[in-house]
Amino acid sequence: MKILLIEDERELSNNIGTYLASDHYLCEQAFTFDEALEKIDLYSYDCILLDLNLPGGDGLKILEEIKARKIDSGIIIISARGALDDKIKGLQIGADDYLAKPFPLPELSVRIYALMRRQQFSHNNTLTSNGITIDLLAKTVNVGNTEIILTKSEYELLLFLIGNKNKVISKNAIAEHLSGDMADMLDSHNFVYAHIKNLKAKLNEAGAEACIKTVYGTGYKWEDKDA
Amino acid sequence: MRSLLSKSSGQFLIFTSVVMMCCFPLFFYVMKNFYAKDLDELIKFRSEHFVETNNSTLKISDIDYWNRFNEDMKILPYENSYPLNKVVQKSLFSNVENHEIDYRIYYRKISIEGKPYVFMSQIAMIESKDLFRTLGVQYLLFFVIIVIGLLGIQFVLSRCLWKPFYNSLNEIEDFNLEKGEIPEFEKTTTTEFARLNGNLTKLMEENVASYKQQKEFTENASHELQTPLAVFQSQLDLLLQDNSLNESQMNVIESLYDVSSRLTRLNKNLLLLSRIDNSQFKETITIDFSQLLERQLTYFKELASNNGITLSANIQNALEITANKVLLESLINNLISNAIRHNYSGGFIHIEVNGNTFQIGNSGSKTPLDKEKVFRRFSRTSEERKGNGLGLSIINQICKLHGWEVRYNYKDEIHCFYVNFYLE
Repeated sequence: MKILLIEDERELSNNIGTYLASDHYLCEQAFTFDEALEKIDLYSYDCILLDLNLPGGDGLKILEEIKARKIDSGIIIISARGALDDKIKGLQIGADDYLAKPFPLPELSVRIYALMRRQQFSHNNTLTSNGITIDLLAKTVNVGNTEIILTKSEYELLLFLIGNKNKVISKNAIAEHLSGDMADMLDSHNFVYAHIKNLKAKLNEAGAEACIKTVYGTGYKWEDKDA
Repeated sequence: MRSLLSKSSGQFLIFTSVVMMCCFPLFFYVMKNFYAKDLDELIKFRSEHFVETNNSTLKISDIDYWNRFNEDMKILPYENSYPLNKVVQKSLFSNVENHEIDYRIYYRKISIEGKPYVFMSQIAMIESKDLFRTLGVQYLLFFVIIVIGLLGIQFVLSRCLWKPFYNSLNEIEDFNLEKGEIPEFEKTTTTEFARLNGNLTKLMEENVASYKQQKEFTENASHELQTPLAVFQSQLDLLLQDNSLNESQMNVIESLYDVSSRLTRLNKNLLLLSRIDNSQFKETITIDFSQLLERQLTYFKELASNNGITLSANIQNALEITANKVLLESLINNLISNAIRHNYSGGFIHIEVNGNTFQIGNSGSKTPLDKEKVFRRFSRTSEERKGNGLGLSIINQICKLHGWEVRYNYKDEIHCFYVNFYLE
């Protein structure tokens, strides 16, 4: 799967590239406005990550250009501007998602994952990992034939973990994912810990393998045996 | 405090009164002097008149007869002791008044049938007391008319003169730094007021400019910080994937994560504050506050119970308000998360919506917060670094923007915040 990463901050761009490469994404980088337009012109991408503040022009112009050319790549805006106006404008022009900087890489990864799933496998709404089947439309989770009843947060957590399988995810990333803006408000470590504990217990009870690995109490990892 | 006009009129009144009082004795003596001179002329004239008309026809035998009918003009036998040819003043008994009064007397030597006689001409003076009273009344009347006239003139003149000053005063009273509108002063022909207005305009312009600059600086600084923060966080996310990390290294990474999220939080709040200051939240919609609160509460109830805190809510009525939704959510989140953050395990939070007020009380430290400082930026009341010191000032700014009232109160070991949504 090919991703175009339009981001002028080289270090950030490299980090995103490295993180996504391990998810078997093929990442190409563009650092300036012109470079981005050139790449869009020459190649086709499944997903475009677009920063709005670019040397040489406004990222929103690139977005308009993509839409004008009827390129059907999924587009996620990653911006430091973060103002509500920009977000609304970006989504109106046709971006699929919006992520304000700074963001945890697992969050970006799971957004790309969700976007790709929506775009390419719209007929297939189930997700399987380690014998656990998730019906994304009905929002149900099954281990074999046993259904596991999860709360909304636990369901989100499960998807987040699987979306970043085989990667260590920090508590902060999980907290931000689960509580959105409200993660800013509080120290969410206990909150994350409680949810992980409950999810683990429910999965164990249903007979799923121990897939959530705790890494020295700092991060969590979903180990996918099939990968 | 008295107004400029009443002050100057008052002082004018006092000073003129003092001056006029001091002048009265002078006036009195001058008048009295003139009066005496007048009388002197009269008695001199009378005696001259006598000499010219009657003296030649008068006989010695007529003297008694003359004296009988003339009280004030008598013919006396000549004696050396009379002060001749000048006016003297003497106190004599008056039959009319029944007491002594002052007379002006003039003696003149005459001769009747060759024999020397003295012609005495006298006139009674008005008593000093009476003169004083008469003059005093006149003087007072005069004084009152003059003072009223002058005061009136001064009042009208001053009003005209100070009008540009009062205009400027009204204009600067309406000046609001946050709105940034510099008032237009009326043109004035007075040099001093023109200078004053010029300087005021300059001051306000500089103020507005530096205020704007400061606001923009905060926003720009926060923006610029976002990218390095994003780099920092992404580095950590990558580092976390390293399989060779040992426990102590992981602990370092965890504390770096904490720093990173604290920085992010601080930066986000600064940005939010400066955006409120820069009035970037103009769109308002009508929202049911109670409904919004209820929705947020599901998340916070979970969070509170994770922290061992009981959260109860009593939402009595729907509360429709016009507000910016993002800010209203931020207000609720900040208030509730504050109540959780500054609480202890086993503590409680009680939320109430009643009429137009929202109220949140929580258990916490046993000392009240400083009411003056509580809404100020970075004014931590304890050394605990639980929050980032911006939550309450965000709350305050949001309320200020919407025209709501927010208050803090501490009673019976409960920290309580009230928000009053004024509804028209």
